[in-house]
Amino acid sequence: MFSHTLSVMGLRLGLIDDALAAHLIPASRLEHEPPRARLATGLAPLDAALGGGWPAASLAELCGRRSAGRTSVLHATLAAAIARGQTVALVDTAGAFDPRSAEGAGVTLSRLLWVRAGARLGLQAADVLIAAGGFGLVAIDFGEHAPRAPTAAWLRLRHAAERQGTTALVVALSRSAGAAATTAIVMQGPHPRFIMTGCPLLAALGTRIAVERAIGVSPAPANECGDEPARSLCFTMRPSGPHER
Amino acid sequence: MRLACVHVPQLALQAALRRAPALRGTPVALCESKSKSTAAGGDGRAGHARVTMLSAEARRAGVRVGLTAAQAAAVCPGLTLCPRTDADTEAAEAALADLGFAFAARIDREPGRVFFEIGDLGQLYPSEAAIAQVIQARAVHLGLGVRVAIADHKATARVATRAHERAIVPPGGGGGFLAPLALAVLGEPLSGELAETFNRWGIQTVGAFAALPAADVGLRLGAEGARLHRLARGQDDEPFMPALPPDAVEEGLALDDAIAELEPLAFLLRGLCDRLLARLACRSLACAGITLRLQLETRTFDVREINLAAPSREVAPLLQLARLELTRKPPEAPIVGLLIVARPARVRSAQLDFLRPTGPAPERLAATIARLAAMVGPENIGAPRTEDTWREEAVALTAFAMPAHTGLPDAAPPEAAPAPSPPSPPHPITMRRFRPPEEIEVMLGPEGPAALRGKATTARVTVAAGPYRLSGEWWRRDEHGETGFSRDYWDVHASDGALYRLHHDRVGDRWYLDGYYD
Repeated sequence: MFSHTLSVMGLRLGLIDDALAAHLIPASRLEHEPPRARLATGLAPLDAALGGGWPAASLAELCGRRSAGRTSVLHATLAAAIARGQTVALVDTAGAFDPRSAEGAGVTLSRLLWVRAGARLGLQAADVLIAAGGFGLVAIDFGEHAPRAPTAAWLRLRHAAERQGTTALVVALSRSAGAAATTAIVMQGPHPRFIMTGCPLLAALGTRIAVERAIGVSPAPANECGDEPARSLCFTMRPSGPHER
Repeated sequence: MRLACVHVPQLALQAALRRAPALRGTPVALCESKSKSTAAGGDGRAGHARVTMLSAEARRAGVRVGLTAAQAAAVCPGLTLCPRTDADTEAAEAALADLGFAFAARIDREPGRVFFEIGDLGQLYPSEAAIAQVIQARAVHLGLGVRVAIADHKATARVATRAHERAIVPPGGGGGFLAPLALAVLGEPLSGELAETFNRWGIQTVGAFAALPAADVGLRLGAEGARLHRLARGQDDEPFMPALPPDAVEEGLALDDAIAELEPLAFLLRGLCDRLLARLACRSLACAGITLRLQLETRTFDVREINLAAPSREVAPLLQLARLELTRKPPEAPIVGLLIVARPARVRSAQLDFLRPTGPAPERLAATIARLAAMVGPENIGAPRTEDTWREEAVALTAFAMPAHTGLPDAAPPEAAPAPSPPSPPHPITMRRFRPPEEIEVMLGPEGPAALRGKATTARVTVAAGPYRLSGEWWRRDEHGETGFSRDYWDVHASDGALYRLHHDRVGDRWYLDGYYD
């Protein structure tokens, strides 16, 4: 009796398996999500680390302590986006944006929408800009302030960015958006270089890129010696810098 | 030529309801007195004010035209008595004209009615009935309930609006359409003498009147009778006289009780702005700014100019700016009247580009900038601009505008597949500024700054590069009497790892932290 029941159950299970098999797709045959478009920054090591640049239509973070180079990366990103013909906005919560430096980095100032919002209104202003649609890049520079927002606010910003096809780039001292960010870069430095012949002269600023989070980017292969690929950046003093006047 | 006639029945009552939309569907009566006390915004119950117009609900409750305010209130205890104000009526008339301009470039106006040609609208809508329906729907957005008639002639259309909510008079069939209507619709109303004559003749309908011989009607009833007879036969020689749209769009209201607080004033402003922007939208225009004219209890006016950063049709930024302006400088006395005059502006259009990424739509961008300007202040949004000065911290903002593209793009559009970037030359160091520069204490050593101490920065200096002297603008004198600047700049690598830029103000002998290289 018991064996008969088992055989019936086995038959039924077999039938169920057959019925399910017609509707199941093995993982090997699942279609992969198409790769995201990338917004190149023009900084070769950073673009290489990010698989081509910042991911389009997503929320990304750029962090670093003072003089670590995050502003230089931000300006390079703005300049590259403007050069591609995108509409670009910068929400500046600390009023730290320096138009002269930005112009030197290649940012066409007349094509940058600069919003000087306080720390309290920064995220709200970015929300309004992204919701308007049509912006290729909206950067939110929190400067020295730590952006305090609930996780839901970051997720809402990310979803808005995905819906509108906008890259939201959060620039801050440390990471804040958590899992809502698809990419997080932490700049490590600085390594300044002075020309010490005679009177000291600031010549360059070196920094290193640490990719803390990069969804959809496969890690770069190590070289023959087993070392990580070079991820250092070097920013030099402009020939027409202020001290050259 | 096919003409549409849009008629607002009981215009003065509808004008009052437009100001207080919550009263729709309730018993409302419009009171008017010959002494004009109510017209000036006084209490509708006072004096010898009599009911001149009433809503259907009030009529069902037993209120009749001609009752005094007290009698009407006694008949219907829930009755709302509204005084008739010229400001309301004028605003409703203007809104009606804007409704006409939403459908035609030229309109013909008369009190409570507009006429316009609908020939070209046939390309947009499948039938004349659909056009009439759209006109009525659009009028609802402006707070007006209208009757619409479409006919060959002005007079025929006018008569049709007296008889029907929506009427389509067939081409060439004016006489036949009007024939079954009561004779009273020919006039507004018919003169007593004519009405008595028709009654004596036993003529009740327009068709019966039209059947009379024209020569005999003219002989017995004179010029007026002959005109009505031609009208009854669907013959009309009244010309269409087009009017130009007014330059200014304004909405106003007179208050029963003076307002001294901001919140109730903001509530009233919202209603006015809503109606104003709906009227501008009718004419495919946006608002570039408003003039807010407040009538004060002291019989003076307080006039404020409020400019939007970019033309917009959104109420929120306009209201926010008005609120900020009134908070910044409250009116000196309670307010008894409001008038808002809008500055119309064309909405910019954009040419899309095959070769470049699509930017924000101009109207949407303008509305966004206006919203942000209301949020952060108009002085804090725009495109940055460097100023022609040696002061490093100087910065200015200009209005942000989408660039007009010509020719091919500078670079290829981004591709879906990631592409490795070519090696690039070193990029320049950029600066992050403290605005305003932070005043600090500096300990000097033999090579320059040796240590700094500020509000958020305390560090030893490991390398100091400088000084780089900058001075200028000695020929200028500002309101504080300062004469230019003279500074020694230093780039220092501090023990906290940062690369600071600081300067010594040689005029005031003080040290400031300008920012840091980043």
